[in-house]
Amino acid sequence: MIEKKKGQVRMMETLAIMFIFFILVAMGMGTYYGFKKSSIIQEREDLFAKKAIDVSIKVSFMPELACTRGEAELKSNCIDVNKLIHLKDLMKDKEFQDYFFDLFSYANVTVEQIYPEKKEYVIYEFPKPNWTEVSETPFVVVLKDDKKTIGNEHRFGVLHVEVFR
Amino acid sequence: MKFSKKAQMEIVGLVVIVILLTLGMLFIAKFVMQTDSSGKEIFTRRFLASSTLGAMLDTNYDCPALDHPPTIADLLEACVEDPNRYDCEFGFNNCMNSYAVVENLTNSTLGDWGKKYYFSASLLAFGDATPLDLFDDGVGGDPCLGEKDSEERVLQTTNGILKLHLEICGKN
Amino acid sequence: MKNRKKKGQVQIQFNWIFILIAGAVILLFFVGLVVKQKGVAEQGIRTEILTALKPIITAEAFSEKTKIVVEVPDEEVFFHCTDDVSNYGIQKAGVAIDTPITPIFAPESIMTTKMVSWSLPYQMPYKVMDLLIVSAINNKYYVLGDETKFRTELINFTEEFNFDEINSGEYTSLDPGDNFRIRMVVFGSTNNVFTENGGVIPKKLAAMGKKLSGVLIDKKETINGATLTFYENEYSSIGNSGTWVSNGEIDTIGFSSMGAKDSVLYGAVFAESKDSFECNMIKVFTRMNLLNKVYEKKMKTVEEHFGNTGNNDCTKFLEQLGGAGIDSFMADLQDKVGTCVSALKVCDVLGSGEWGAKKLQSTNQGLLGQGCMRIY
Repeated sequence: MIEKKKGQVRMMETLAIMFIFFILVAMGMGTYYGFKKSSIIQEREDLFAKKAIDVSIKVSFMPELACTRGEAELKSNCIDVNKLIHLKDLMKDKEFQDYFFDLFSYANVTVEQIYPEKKEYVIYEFPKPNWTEVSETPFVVVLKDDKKTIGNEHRFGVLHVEVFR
Repeated sequence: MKFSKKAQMEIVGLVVIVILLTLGMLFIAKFVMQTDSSGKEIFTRRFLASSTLGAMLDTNYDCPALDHPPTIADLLEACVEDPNRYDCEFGFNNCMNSYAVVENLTNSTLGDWGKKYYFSASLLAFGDATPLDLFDDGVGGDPCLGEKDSEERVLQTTNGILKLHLEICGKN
Repeated sequence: MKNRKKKGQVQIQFNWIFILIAGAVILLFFVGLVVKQKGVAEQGIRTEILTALKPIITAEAFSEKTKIVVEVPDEEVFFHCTDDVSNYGIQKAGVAIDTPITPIFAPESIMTTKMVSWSLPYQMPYKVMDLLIVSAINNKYYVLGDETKFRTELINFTEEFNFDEINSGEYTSLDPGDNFRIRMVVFGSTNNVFTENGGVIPKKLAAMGKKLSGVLIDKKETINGATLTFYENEYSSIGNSGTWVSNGEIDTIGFSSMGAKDSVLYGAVFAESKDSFECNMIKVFTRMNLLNKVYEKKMKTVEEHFGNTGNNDCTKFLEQLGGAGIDSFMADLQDKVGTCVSALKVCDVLGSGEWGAKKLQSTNQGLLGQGCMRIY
């Protein structure tokens, strides 16, 4: 009888150990997948943020907008007002919309002049239908109007880029 | 009796291990989940400091009295070399003009976007070791204490090197 | 006694069976977990590569003329460009990222731990866009043939890539070694390694199959651009032999970049084939078509500005664009751009002193010299 009880106790002990072991494994897996989930969410946020930066960089260096210096490299952080006003109008053409959609996807691109007076130019407007989240990246730029022989050739402005998901 | 105590000790041992492991995992989780500024924030801050300072210095000051108004960089240089060089507003010299316009531009961008920032302009005169601040308390508040990204530009003037510094504060 | 003995025997055996089964279950569980994780990790690595590549592709607008060296996991990355499809991706992953806008001049595939990218502007005469060149540290480029300025420039400016100058004698004893791909860049016209000896490729090189390719650059020093002939290796496993076969010729004289570096010729050095080169150049002209529309409107603004300010000295430069003015000049240029999109072989947007991009350049330089508002 004692032997039978010994055997039973041993069996119970083994089962208890295995039970505890699997609980530990389950806890470990739970923690690991918890980390994984939060890191995937973080990565998704990072990718969305990167997308906003990508589009901002593309816009600020577009030959259709950027200030030129003859044959030299395009001037950075500078928008040519005399190209801006025409691009704004040309963006209404389907040809331009289709092409730039491939470049920017769902986004809004606006140039806002802040100084000396306020003006706004909406270049590209393509919000995602039923969007749930928007990420905005503002870049400060100089707006250059080399038509100005008198007065402010260089104005202070902001390039607003919003991407959607 | 001995067996009973041994078994009890084993169970207690297992329980202790489980508790220790749980505590350890919770501790690691807390540590790992602390977030610093994201890559986007850092990149945006860095680029913003650079683009804001660059754009500001190239912008023409609104001076209707002059056909060819100076840029803000010119205004800051004038503040150091000849504060009355550009006659734009009655009663104000070019140092006051430059302070006002820098404050206006930084406030309507960085300030409006809720960013803490600090702009300073300091002159290192030739032969001097100590730089002289053009604006006593800088523009925008206090220098950043914690995380920050900054941009500097240097202008050569007849009175020395004019160092312009803009920093954008991160999370503290 | 017998019963007890048998009970004991059964108990021991049962114990061992129980241990074996339990052990096997635990082992299988962990092995399954590891295998699943391995698959997830591999997919993660492939996504990581594509994620690492994306900013490089984006950076084409940002880091003009700079080279970026990126460490990537050792997976085969393909770059594909045909009339209908333009993309890049990981061979095994079966996932590709479309690149309908960005011209990428790269081999058909690369497999490396160090990827090198370089963006060069295409100017005609103003900057149209950047051409992105992508290659790998284990792709070998052998340069031989005539000495030209462009050849010297190519060697000097491709330090980050894997370029080597050789002579015809060394060509016959070339060994692929650890290189994943080999590209022969030959300067000259007639009597070159592609045509000598019936175009037979040395055996060691021939064994590379499709991973061996070549381009012949016939460049005249005084003329912009060159005549390009692309070659591929027609390999036969019977006899382990290969022959150079031309897959097409393109003359870039009418559209080579007007910038300090001829980005079109650089693109030709790195592009896999004539088809890939053409496909990517078409993207450039598609962009140029749109950009020209913006500049046409700007030119009219410039013209109006000169009229409003009564600046006849400046106006005369615009009048030089042609009798019928800006509209006619740009319509003609756009027509030429359209031809480039549909038939690169006869593309000519460069023009001369009388029309095309060259005329636009001289007009702009005249405006600059006179202190007038410029076109670009």
